[in-house]
Amino acid sequence: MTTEPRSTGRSRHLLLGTLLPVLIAAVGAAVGISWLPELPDPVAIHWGSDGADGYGSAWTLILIPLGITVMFTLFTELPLAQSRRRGGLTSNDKFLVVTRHFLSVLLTVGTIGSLAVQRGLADASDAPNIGGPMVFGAAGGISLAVLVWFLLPKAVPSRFDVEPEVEPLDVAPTERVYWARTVHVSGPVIVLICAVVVLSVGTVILTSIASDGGLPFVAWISAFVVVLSIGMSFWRVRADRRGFLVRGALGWPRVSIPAADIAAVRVVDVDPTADFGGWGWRWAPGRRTGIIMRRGAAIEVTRRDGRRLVVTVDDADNAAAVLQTVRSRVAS
Amino acid sequence: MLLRIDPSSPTPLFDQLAASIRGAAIAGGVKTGERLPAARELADSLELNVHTVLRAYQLLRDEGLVDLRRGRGAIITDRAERYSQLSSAIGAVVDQARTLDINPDTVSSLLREAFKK
Repeated sequence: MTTEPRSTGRSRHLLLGTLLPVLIAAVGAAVGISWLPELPDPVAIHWGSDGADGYGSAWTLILIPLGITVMFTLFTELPLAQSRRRGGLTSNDKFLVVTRHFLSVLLTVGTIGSLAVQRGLADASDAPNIGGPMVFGAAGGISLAVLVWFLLPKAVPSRFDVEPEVEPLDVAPTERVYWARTVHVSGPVIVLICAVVVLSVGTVILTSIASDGGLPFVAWISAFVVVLSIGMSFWRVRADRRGFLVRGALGWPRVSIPAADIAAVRVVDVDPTADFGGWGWRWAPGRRTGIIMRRGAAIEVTRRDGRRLVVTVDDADNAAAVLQTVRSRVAS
Repeated sequence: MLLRIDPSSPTPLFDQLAASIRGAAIAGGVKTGERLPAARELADSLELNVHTVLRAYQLLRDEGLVDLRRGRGAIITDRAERYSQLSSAIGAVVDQARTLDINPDTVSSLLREAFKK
């Protein structure tokens, strides 16, 4: 009988979290299709500050919300499989789920609303502005997301708190210890970063061809994005008598925890989406800052004021043992 | 890469540090192409003289485990992988020596003898 709350939670997740956003988009698409005979051809599909300025087939507007909602729902369901096996969704997982509802309502109301105002028009250039449907869609999306949040089973806490503290290294009192490691993002994320770099460079090239005014601005933004991506992807981690230091490849960001400020050291198992909502430099409930480069073992250092720093590193056991040794020496 | 040195041991500090880095290379804690920490940083961490660290790095360069270049620092060479390959054979020798109750000094002199053949 103990499994019953979990299975009801699972079916509620399936109905409310997965089917509902897709259903909303599907109903929207059906309504759009039923209006096809009354719509001008082509319809307005893009609006500028002076009204409609882009035209295309009505099917574009009908299918975009459905396509994006289905893709987003499938894409966000993948990382949740592991969470559900654990017995429930964390608050980060739930946030990901209700984002589907927000997206679905925003896109459906926004696009179907912009078709509604064009019903019976002979020429799409007479289409009125669609600020109304967009605002209404955003407000409706947020309301539904909040409602679903409360209807979904209560968020389970991250599993961090149950891990025991690590033992210090087995060293002589006179021994001095040092531990260091570089951590970087893994294969798929490197591909993503390369894509960002290529996109940035491409934008600069296209802008330089298309105009002569905006180039310096775009070039600076692109350079910033590239530098930030690289800087956030490679880190040096060090544990020694002075404490714990994590430094980005460019020297920034830099987090340093002096040995005397360390209250506890643990090795934790990180699920990036469930525990931190993704990869990179992250914040999570429980006053946690995470430098999350991959799934798996990470060192968690708790400061005296309760703030925690979580860094995914290989050989986290040794890193934690070194820090625990250093901490016990400072404390004694 | 976990490094440990003990000032109360009779072994010279630079020798201990070199052995510790060698051990990390064998255990895979530091890999081919990886840069060792700057001598000053390591000296600071382990409360050593910079020259002690540099002497350890020079020892490792002489045996070919690191490539020492001005401005680039100390880079681990592909010899680290060869060390790892040898480590399983060494493990077998150590295990056998323990079961036969032969002390480490005898084992190392036996090894040295074996190389002369």
